[in-house]
Amino acid sequence: MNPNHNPQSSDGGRHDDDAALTEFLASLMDYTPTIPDELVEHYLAKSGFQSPDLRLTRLVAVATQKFVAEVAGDALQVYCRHCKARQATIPKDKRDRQQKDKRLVLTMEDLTKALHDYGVNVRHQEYFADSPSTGMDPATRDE
Amino acid sequence: MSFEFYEALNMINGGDDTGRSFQQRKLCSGGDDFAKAIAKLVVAQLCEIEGFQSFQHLALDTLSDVAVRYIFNTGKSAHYNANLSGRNECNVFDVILGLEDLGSVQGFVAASDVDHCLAGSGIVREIVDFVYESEQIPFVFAVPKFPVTRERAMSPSFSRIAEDPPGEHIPTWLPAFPDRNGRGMEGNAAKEEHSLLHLQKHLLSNGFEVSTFVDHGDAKAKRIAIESNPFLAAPLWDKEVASVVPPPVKILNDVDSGNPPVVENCVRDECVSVVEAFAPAIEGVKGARCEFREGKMTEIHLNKKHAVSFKIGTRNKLLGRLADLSPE
Repeated sequence: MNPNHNPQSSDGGRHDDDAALTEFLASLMDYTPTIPDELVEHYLAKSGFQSPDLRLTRLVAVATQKFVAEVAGDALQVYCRHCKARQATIPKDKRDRQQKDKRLVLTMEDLTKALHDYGVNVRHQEYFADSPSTGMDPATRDE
Repeated sequence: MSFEFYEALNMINGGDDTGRSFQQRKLCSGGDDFAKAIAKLVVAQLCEIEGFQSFQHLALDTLSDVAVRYIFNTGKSAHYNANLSGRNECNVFDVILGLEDLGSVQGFVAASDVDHCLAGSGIVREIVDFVYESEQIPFVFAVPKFPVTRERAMSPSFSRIAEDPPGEHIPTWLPAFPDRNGRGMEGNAAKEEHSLLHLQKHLLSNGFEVSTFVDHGDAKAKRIAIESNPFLAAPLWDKEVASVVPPPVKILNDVDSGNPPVVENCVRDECVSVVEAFAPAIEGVKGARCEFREGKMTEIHLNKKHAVSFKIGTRNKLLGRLADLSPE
């Protein structure tokens, strides 16, 4: 950054940025984020964040909402891609039946792939068994 | 709102069909259950806004945990940046720096431009775009202010009750001592005893075991405590049990000859407590440092006590000799 080069234009630019930020923070007071303020305040207080300004709480709430929305959107895209890949393999008559009861489900598989892009590595158990003999043949189980 | 969303709301804390018992769930949970439940509901609503119609429970748990950590890490980062600048209250630039740290993994516009002004950061522009493009949908429930702080009944200080503390070393702003002199104790004792008996009866009727702290001067309370607590009852047998007298342990200290001292423990008809037999050795080893190599003691450095080697004679006439503890 060169402070001597065109100080007035850079000052003007900075003023614009500051004005835009101030205006945005003021508009946050009218905008109610989906994440309630009480929840955000609770976790911010837990982390040591101290500020009497509600606008900063709203800023964090909005940022978190954007993050969760993006992750959910990515998971949805992954799910749709899987659905299309699955639909390509099954025969046409079954496809029509399936399209009627098609539901969008947030699965662990899609979420893991979506979160991977955001640097969050999630590993989960593939399945849980009630006992060591679960799923075995009844003949072998009796032995 | 869709049926699955309502189902989720009902099932968040209630009918979990993973098979875990209520007790197990209670052991795993911390003190943050309310906030976590609210976070799950919020994330479920956000997923529904995006277009999901239902979700797996584990997926919802994971995403809500990630969202909570996002908030927590943003706050932690902002707090750290404020402290770095010599402040304890955070301002907007601390928060923006915190958001930039978390967003640096995914990346944002002009992230590589290190000298940019924070007010015009790419992160801020993305958030502004998000706010102006997305629909404003508030949370479905009204969340009360939590955690609720309970009013504590503080015991009055010496200065409050205008009393001199018993001793110059006790400052007057400390809470006053509870009354021990007996002034007013006679009046309170009967009340306390009555309330204690009432409480015990209430608990017994509900099927709880009552173990009470019994005042020795109080025979009636003692009798009730004995009736309720089986461990306070008198023993079943009356005859006195003979106390165990350990057989004499002879320690032969043969310092001059250089031989290690020998402990002879003669056992005839009784078994000897192993601890008593090994007591001298244990005390010796406590002051010693030994190195074990391949399971055998090779080297011992003693402070002052001499090495002890002893042999035990038992009823079966098994003579064993412990490893030679002599210093070499």
